[in-house]
Amino acid sequence: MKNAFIVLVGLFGLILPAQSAPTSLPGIRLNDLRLLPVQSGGRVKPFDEFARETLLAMTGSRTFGSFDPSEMLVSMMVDPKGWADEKIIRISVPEVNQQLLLEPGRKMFSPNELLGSNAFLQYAEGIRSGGKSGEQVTGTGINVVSGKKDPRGEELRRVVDRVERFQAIVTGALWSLTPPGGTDTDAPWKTFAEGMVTSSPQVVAAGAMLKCYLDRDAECFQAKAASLRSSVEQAVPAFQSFEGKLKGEVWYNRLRPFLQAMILYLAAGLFWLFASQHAFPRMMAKFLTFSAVFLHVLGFALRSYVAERPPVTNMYESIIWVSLGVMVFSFLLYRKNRQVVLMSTASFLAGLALFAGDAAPLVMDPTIRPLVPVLRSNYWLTIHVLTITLSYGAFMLAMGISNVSLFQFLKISKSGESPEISQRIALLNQLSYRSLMFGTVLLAAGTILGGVWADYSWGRFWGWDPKEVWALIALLAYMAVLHGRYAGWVGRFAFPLWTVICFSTVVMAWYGVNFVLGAGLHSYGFSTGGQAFVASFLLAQTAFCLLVAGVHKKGARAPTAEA
Amino acid sequence: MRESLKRVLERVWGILISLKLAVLVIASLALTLSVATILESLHDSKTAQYFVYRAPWFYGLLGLLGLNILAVALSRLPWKRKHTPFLMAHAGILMILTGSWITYRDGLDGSLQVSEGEMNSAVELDQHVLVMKEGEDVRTVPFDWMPASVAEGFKGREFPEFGIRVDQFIPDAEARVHFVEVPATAAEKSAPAVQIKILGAPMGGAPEFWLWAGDAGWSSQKLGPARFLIRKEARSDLDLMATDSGEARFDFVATRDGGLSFESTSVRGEKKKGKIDLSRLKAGSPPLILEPGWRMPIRIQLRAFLANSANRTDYAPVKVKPQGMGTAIPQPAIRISLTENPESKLWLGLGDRADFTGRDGIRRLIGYYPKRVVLPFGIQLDRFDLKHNPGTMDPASYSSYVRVVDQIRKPGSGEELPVHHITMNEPLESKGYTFYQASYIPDVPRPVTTILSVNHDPGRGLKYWGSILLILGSISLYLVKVVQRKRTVEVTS
Repeated sequence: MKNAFIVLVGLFGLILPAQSAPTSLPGIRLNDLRLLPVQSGGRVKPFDEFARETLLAMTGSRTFGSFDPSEMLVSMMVDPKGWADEKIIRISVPEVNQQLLLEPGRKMFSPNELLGSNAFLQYAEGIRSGGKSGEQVTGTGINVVSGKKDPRGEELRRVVDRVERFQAIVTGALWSLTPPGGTDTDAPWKTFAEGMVTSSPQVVAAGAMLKCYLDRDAECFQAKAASLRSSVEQAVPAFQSFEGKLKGEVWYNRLRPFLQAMILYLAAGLFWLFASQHAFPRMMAKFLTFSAVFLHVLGFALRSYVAERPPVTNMYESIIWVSLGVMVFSFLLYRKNRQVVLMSTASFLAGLALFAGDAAPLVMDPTIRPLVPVLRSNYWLTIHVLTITLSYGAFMLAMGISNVSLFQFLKISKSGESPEISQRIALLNQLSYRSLMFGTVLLAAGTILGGVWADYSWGRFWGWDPKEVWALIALLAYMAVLHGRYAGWVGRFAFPLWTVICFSTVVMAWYGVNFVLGAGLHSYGFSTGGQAFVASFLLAQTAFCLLVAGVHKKGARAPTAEA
Repeated sequence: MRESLKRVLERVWGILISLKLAVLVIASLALTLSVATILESLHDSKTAQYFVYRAPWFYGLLGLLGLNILAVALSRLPWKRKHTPFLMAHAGILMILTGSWITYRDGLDGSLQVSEGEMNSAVELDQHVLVMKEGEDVRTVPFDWMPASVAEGFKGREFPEFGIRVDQFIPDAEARVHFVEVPATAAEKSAPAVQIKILGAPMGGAPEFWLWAGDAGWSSQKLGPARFLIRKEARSDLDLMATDSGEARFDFVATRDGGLSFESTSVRGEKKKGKIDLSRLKAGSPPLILEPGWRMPIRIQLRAFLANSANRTDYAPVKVKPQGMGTAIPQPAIRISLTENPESKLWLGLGDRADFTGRDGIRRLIGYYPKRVVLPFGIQLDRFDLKHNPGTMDPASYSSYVRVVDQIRKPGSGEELPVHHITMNEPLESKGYTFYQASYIPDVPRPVTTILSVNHDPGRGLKYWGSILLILGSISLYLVKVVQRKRTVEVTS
């Protein structure tokens, strides 16, 4: 009897005809649902995070209409027919539209549109039978595989996964909510769909909650969600060890500290621009910068606490750390020199970096994932990766300051050189040099620490792996500049120019090896996307360098011509 | 004369200690390395190693860097206290370079594969050898890997001590079976074979394959709704073999007189028979097309018929390199011939061996293997352990429980020895060798064979001390500069 009831609730939507687009339930309170423990992606996480990941994976964006992600999932389970007609599946590679014979240029499609397409069904079948056999079998990365990037094929796979995810949500196959009992924290949980057969107490509670939502009764929903939460919590082995992390993660998700820090940084950068003349902007700039850094550090700490490791294992996390590094070095230098231009440069850089990290969640996955086996050494992970990415921060700051320095040469070409500008250039170059010092020592230390870790866990200190090699190339490039400066060949104009050019080697070591070359042992970090963004940054930077170099050369020649 | 020699030496010394050389070497290293990584991305790491990382000129470049650093350091003689940071940093680099050289020369880096309950002491290296066994006499000669672009121009290499010649090398090879005519009196198993191509196949393309009436005197291949079959005439009982409903069947029948005929049965049971005119298989004649007389528009082209054939394995370059972890990596293959009989051709994939008898009547064994080094002790695997991330099939960690067995003994006899647990980030060190958890061989229901990487690195200490010196040196270089600046500021103000 009970069973039948649950099945009925679970499949209600399939029977009911779709009437109108699903809407949010007014007065709904989601606190208990958000904190509900779910096993997903190899760890226990709050329902809130599970819902956010699912939403992001399907739609490619963080929000959909006015729906809270958690409520959206509930609504999907209650009204699958309505949702099947909503445009919730993203296709972000235009060639896939073409391949699936879909309307070109459109990005969002409804599950029904795709499931009604024969081309899609054929590809889905092909991908399913092709499988992804043993993709991670040797997570050591020891065996050498050179995989070529195929953006279209990859996106096709993702689109199929998006549709399957939708189907798994509405059938309850994705929602693992019933802990198996016993003390094994690693045992797989039963899904909603599996639990329907055995009518587990959690599924009964969840069914009751869904029924309330179907009846559009917000109060009933809240009460049932609370009882569902306590029912799951009681069944989770060693729940005390999860409790704080679940709360922390929900808080982290709702606070979005890095997004707020980004806005504050950009605002602070603006105020710093005017801070040298007036006291008020200076005060505001300081206040904003400190608040931004506070949120930045808080977010970093929260993420470390939730993930139980330093968050530096993918592109998204490393951007957070590098931008924090930019701020740390700017503070160190500001303490001595009190140069507001340094702070405005640093704040803008940190803000823009966080913006880039936040802008493309599909390229830079912001979700917290379990580590591949080889990275599971917190000690080495912490010191090697933190050191090496910290050096990127120093180089980024040097790049920013050098760009400001190059900008002074543009000014010179317009309005002639004044002692003020000369002094400013000398000062900027000095700051950029200091930043390079931090950077080179940290990069050398980080690269060597990587060697020590590799020696310790793989058995060789140095293996000419592309990631290692590019770190070395960056180091060599900066070494060439520093030695050239020492010898006097790299002067006050060439130094900022070369500092800016050398940053492209850091971009290559940081981004290029994982996203463009896609070869070598650091394969756990490989991904695709963002090429256009990075390429346009490099192009703009090159164009600026060429412009300044051209102007500078002309300016240098002009006086001799007059003489 | 002596004057001019002195002048040349001074000139060379002047170049060696110049910063210009340093910047030039550093810049060319950076450039070379970036090219190497692109090479690796386009091809594979072996190619990058062949052309750059293990190329003699690259060692020359690194050597030049070392020489430059050494000369610069010596040029500052007599050293004063202020030189300390500079000397530390540069000595650090020299030590790292020297340490790497020692590792390259005397180090061991290989892999050891061992299954549960077994013991192994043979470490496989990333180098390949030809092994010749003649009675009790075993000789080994290195035969190194080369990338496809080099292998194309490979002219062959004589091994006079073995009496063989390597004619061809394929770096990424896949095995293909084909058939050759052999005399009916040959010792090896022989049977009739046909090579056919299916035209107008519904799934597109024109599948081409061999049918060989091997052991049983017949064999068949099913392709969509049609079955293709070869049999000896003696196996007429196969006529009665029921076909699946809805299956069309095409039989090649090798007759006793060495000829070939066919029997075709359509889905509805309509039959068609005929003798095949083998003279039409001669080179230069138009393709021999057989019409099975089915409703579906399928025709069969007979490409070859061998009345008495044996199977041979040869190798061809893989067309598509497999992607993703855990897929089989293509292995190299060589084709050899005997010096005394250049017509004798034989393919050996890595790990294969073959025996032959020369004109002198002596039986020899030739093998193409990874180079092996036998450790003075063995590693016995008690248990291999694989853990997954909760609720998924992604491996979270894997580890091996091993014992170090002093001499070669029977497996399982080392109960009294201590068990070591090797995990991803915790290697086992024993007798100068270090054993790391590298990988495993996937198996159902659970993997039982571990792959450990084995390492012996006499240059390690030098590299570590060099690293420490380099870091301390560069930190103090900068600190000294900051202090110096402060002083000059104080003096000027």
